[in-house]
Amino acid sequence: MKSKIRTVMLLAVALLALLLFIALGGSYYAHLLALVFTNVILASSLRLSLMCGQLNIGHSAFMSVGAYTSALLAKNLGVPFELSLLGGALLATVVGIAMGYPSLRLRGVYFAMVTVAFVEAVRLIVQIWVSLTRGMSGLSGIPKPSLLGMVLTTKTDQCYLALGLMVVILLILYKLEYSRLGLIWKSIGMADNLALSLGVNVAAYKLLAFAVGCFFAGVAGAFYAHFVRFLFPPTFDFLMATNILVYNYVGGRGHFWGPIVGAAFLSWLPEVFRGSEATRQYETIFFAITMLLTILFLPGGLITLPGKLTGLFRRRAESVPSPSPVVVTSGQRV
Amino acid sequence: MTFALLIQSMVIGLSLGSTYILMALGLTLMFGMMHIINFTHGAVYMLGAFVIYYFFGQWGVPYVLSFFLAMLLLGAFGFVIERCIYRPIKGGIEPTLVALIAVTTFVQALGYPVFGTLDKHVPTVFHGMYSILGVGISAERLIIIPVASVLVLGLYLFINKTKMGAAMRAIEQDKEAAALQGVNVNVVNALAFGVGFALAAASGALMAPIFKLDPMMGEQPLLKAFIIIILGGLGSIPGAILGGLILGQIDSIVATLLGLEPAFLLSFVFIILLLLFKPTGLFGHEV
Amino acid sequence: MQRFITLLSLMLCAAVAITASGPGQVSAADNVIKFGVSTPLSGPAAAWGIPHKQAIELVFDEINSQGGLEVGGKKYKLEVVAYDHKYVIAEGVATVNRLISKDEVKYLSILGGAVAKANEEAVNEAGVLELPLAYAEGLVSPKNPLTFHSFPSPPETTTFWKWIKEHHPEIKRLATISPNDDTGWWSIKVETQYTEKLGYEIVAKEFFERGLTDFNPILLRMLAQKPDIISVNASPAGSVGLIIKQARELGFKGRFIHIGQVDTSVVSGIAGKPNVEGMWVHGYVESPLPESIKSWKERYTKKYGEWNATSIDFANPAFGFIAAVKKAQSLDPKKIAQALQNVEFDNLWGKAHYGGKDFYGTNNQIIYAMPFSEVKDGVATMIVQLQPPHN
Repeated sequence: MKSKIRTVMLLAVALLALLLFIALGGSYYAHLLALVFTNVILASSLRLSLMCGQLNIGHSAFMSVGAYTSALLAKNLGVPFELSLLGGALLATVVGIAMGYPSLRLRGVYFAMVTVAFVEAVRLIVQIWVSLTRGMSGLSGIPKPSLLGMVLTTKTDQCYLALGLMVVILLILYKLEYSRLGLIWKSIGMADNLALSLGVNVAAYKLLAFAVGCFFAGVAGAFYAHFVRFLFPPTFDFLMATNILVYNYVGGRGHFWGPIVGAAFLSWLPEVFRGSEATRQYETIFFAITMLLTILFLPGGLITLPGKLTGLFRRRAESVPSPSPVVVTSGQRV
Repeated sequence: MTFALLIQSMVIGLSLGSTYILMALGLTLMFGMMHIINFTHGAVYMLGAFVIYYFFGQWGVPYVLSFFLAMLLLGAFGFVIERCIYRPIKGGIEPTLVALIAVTTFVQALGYPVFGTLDKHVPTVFHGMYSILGVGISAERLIIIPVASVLVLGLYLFINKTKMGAAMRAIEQDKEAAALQGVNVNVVNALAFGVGFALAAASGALMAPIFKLDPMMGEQPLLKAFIIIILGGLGSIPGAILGGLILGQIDSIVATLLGLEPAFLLSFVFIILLLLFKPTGLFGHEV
Repeated sequence: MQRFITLLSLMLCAAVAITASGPGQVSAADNVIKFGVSTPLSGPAAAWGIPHKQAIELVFDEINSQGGLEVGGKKYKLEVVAYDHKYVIAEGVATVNRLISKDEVKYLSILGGAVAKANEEAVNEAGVLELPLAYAEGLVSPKNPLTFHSFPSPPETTTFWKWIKEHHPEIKRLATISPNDDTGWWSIKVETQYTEKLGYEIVAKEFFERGLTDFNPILLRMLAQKPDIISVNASPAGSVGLIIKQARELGFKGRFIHIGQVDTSVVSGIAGKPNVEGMWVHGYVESPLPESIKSWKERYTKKYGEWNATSIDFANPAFGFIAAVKKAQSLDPKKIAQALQNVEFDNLWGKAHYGGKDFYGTNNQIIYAMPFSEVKDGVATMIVQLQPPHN
């Protein structure tokens, strides 16, 4: 119990620090943080699929659906932000279920490939449907976010909104992960044949994880649309989807905090490098090296780093376990 | 669309298909062997092209020699990747995927400071134009067919007629049983990487004079190759060839009829339907 | 896990402490004018971005070497703060965000239609002066009072078609091929409207995704309509090279025209010199160069080690900016904007000013005698200079 109170207190301190950062940082940091929070939402919501052992590289497609839906509802139909956000998230979920349901039987590489095909198909549909989305011209003139009728005009205000969304979503995801539902998901991820043999409706649970993930991806997309206020179809491409996947891997596959750490660290990186002429070119290179080093030396992800460091200092074996669920790409004789 | 245009479109489709097939061969080999999607294939293609740029374009080394050098150098790079990246990760599919994405990002990003940011070109090697059924096809495109055929033949002979090839086939069927029979899995994996990379490099080296060179040039061919190997069946060489021919026709005829975007959309929808109903593609093994 | 949260909280507190000591960066020196540049320094559009940045820097260098720009009795050094946006929208937004919010620049130049459009609202809300090199519909308009487009756009350059009609009446059928984005769409829309009025027949309009390398399928479709001339407006050099090469292979014998701007030396390299013969291009001249430009060429080559003819017209933002600041004698973007609408200045081709009210509704488009060249024996040779149809 005492450790739980300590955790909550530490989290409260972290939250306070973030709030102060936003308040004092000016619109430059507000812009960056809002995008970081968006990425955290994306990475954490993807984690649900990954927990179930589904290699999902399609998350950006659902972000796109959420973004365009919310933008069009608000711009063309005058729908207030709260409702357009919800609308975007719901449509993203519906599309997700439509795509996820037939794909349930697929495993491993095949599932991954179908998600990649989804991303490209959605992108192309958005591009071709010019009369609705303005295609490659880009959709501009998207209204700013508003709460209860009050428009959030400054980047700082919008950043608070992003923070709020992120905190709420993380709370929900945390509750889900540590509930019986989460346990079932993890068991599916570790050995789905075994779960199936025990009577678990594997397909239904996988679809649920996928759908919940899509819902939050839609939320992230809707916020993004009203924040950046310019939508361009190639933004939501295969590259973005792999980035979200990479946030999870570099951060740590086995832990709730993994995607959060991964997203925060990796989406902040480009700004650090943008600063000087000399480093600008090497930003992507550093990004890639970080990925490689993490995969090779920290297979559990960055989240295991403090554990390893303290292990180093105390000359003990690493204290923080880094569970990497064994993904059974079933059907093949292993 | 007139009949003449249709015929011409099909010829273009053959030309397109041949540029895709070579890429797809290396990819399908690596998938068949190790069940990994080689994300670095596009980056290796690019490096193969740049080897031609430097050796043939800038330093005057004869083209054929440069071609073999490209295959050799990048084959060696394949060994390095296998040893340093694939093996330590012990073959988990997701970490390998992310690691290969990292390698690709690294190589492509390094391309800008090292090769420069402007598009480059390599002088034409095989001059001449031929008219096929009313369509002008350049010699340099036509030469892809014999070169690709030779490589396919070589690959086929290697896999089916050599001991190493037999070892590869054994591992593909059952890794542990093969190991029990004395096959050195690591060596064979390294070879698979090497051969796969060499094929990608060959593809890049062939395309270099036809198109232009830039660090991201491998992205499109990689995407096409993925579509093809899914179409044809992961791990199947005849599948890769047939898949390449089919995609070439789709990209040509549908694009000429409806435009590029609908053509791409169609190929992806096709893939999705195929994966949902027959994931093993046209010739793939049962998974 | 808890250790991690501790670590995280400590890092955040540190970040707050750093930020609390002052948001953003205070200008290094008080007498520096920072001019922001967001341009593609890598990627397919680098052939445009690199001379863009380098041209502005060269012009500023020369002012600085003479002591700086005098405003209100005080001398200021001009400094370029440049970021690469790789022609990716997300990067375009991030770089401009950094320029405006962190580097606190009050004047900037963006290259790229889609990027300029993505940042339209940010520029207006921040009240910064923008001198873009970007083709995008609606960019130059009364709703963007601080945006001064510093390169001739399709509505200006299409006047070249009148010249073509006079001197080459045998050309009647036009086909166009352009990138699939707002830059391409708007360019083609303006060009086809203008040429149709002149009596040309538009036989095909194609759009391609950036990154496409094999144009054969759509060229096949286009060439079936038997065009006399193909317009590659708004396409980047690499794509133009491939389009020309493949069109020639398919048997096209007519001319190509690019009334946006393209580096024909890059095009030549990819397509093959003989294939580019006779191509018409705006805004790129390799010879003959008037004396004033010969001297620019020397200075450019001296500073950067190699010559790039694209820089000649891409230096416009710098010339316009300096002239307007001199006239306004103020650093306030709004005052400089007012001056920009009323000042006549010299760019490398002669006299220039910002006008176009009749067409755009506001005097925010640069107007000067635009150079048009024909590629002769691989060299872009200037054949005529034309004033835009509107002042």
